[in-house]
Amino acid sequence: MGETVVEESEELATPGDVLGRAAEVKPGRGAYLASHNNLVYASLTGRVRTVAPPPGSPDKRPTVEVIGHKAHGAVPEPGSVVIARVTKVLSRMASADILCVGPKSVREKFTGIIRQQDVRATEIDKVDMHSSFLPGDIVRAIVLSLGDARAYYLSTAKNELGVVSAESTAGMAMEQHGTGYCNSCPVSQGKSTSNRDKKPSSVPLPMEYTVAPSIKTMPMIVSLKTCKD
Amino acid sequence: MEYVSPEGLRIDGRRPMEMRKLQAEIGVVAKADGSAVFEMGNTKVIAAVYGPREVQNRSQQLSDQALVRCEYSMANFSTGDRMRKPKGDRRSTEISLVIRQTMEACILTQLMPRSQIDIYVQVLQADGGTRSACINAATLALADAGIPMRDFVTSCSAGYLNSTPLLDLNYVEDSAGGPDVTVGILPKLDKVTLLQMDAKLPLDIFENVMQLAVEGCKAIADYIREVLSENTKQLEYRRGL
Repeated sequence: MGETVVEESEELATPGDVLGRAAEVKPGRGAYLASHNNLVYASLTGRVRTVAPPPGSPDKRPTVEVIGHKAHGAVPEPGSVVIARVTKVLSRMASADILCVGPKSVREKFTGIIRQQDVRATEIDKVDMHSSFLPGDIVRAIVLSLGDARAYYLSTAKNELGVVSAESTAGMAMEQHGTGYCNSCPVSQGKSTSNRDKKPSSVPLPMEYTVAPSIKTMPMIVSLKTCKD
Repeated sequence: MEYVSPEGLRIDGRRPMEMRKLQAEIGVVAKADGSAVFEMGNTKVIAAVYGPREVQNRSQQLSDQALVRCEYSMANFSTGDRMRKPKGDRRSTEISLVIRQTMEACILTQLMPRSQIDIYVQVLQADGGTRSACINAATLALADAGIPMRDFVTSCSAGYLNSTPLLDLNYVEDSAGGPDVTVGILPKLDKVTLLQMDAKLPLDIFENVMQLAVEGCKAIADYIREVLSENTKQLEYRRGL
């Protein structure tokens, strides 16, 4: 597939600068269309960038964008893969704090909910939430939608999603066996019947995980080294 | 009292159509998303913008656009005599409302639903035209924060003393009791977002005075554009582009 041609000009635009006519260019990020005179204006301060239209599209107008210099924190969008830490497990859903969106960590707190029917793809009515998640687990999930006022809706119903890292009741990192986590922790030994049966297939993780040895009284100590933007 | 001498000079030596010296600086408050200091002569104002961020009061959340909040306050030491109640009095509440409505008209709020943008402006030195200086500082701070806007909002005041339209009144001229017209415009789009006047003026003279203020606004807009371009070039230079 051909690469879209991107052209960055030497022009600096400030809010209110005219970038073109609506008939010739399409407004992208950092630009907007004023409907009363059909002109495209800049809405941010930065360099002007023109992106050629994708080769198969009916609209032949290039997109004009203004690249600002302020980096805003990551915000979860429907369809994006997020890393979250489970905070609460109830009978029909689990609540999680979203830590990263893709490779970027978030600057503000976002809450997500994993409902019983979104935990896995098969036998969704037979899911036991307490054997799938424990507070403190790190999960990789996909954002289904913006959800309600309180939380995003997340789903782990795919092969590469699910619990990525967990601690056993003795506080040691659990090892993955087969299709689920078994409580094969060197300290407590023995398999517990409640397996966290969500294990992502081997997909290279975007971040490094380090599990610090925990004290039994502390609920959760897993530090993530993430690429902060 | 004579505010315009027979030679045509004002009390501070300016000509009637001359504005005070402008000076602006961006990025002065490190913690804020955007900030600016704006000076018009002796009037000095600092603005800090936080946002877009999550709405703190859920009941005020708007589902289709961003909530813009503004707070105007004067520092205790900003006027000649130390102020006792810098904010919460009627004048501050009114100016906060005015600045909020003016800035809300230019921010593209539909791009950031369910979020909140906070604008805090504080007057450090008051010498007339604080309302205008606050609006100009808020514009710079919003542009620094990278919040999408339709255009800048620039504001300037003008008055009419000794039968002469005067641009950019200072405190002494403002307290003279003559009319004081404050105009806020979107310079490139040529639209008025703020128009206030106290005292009375006949209509034809009002048109002249308002036109003078609008030209002052356009001059401020050129200056603001220059400051922002310079700032962007500095940032790119520091990033090694």
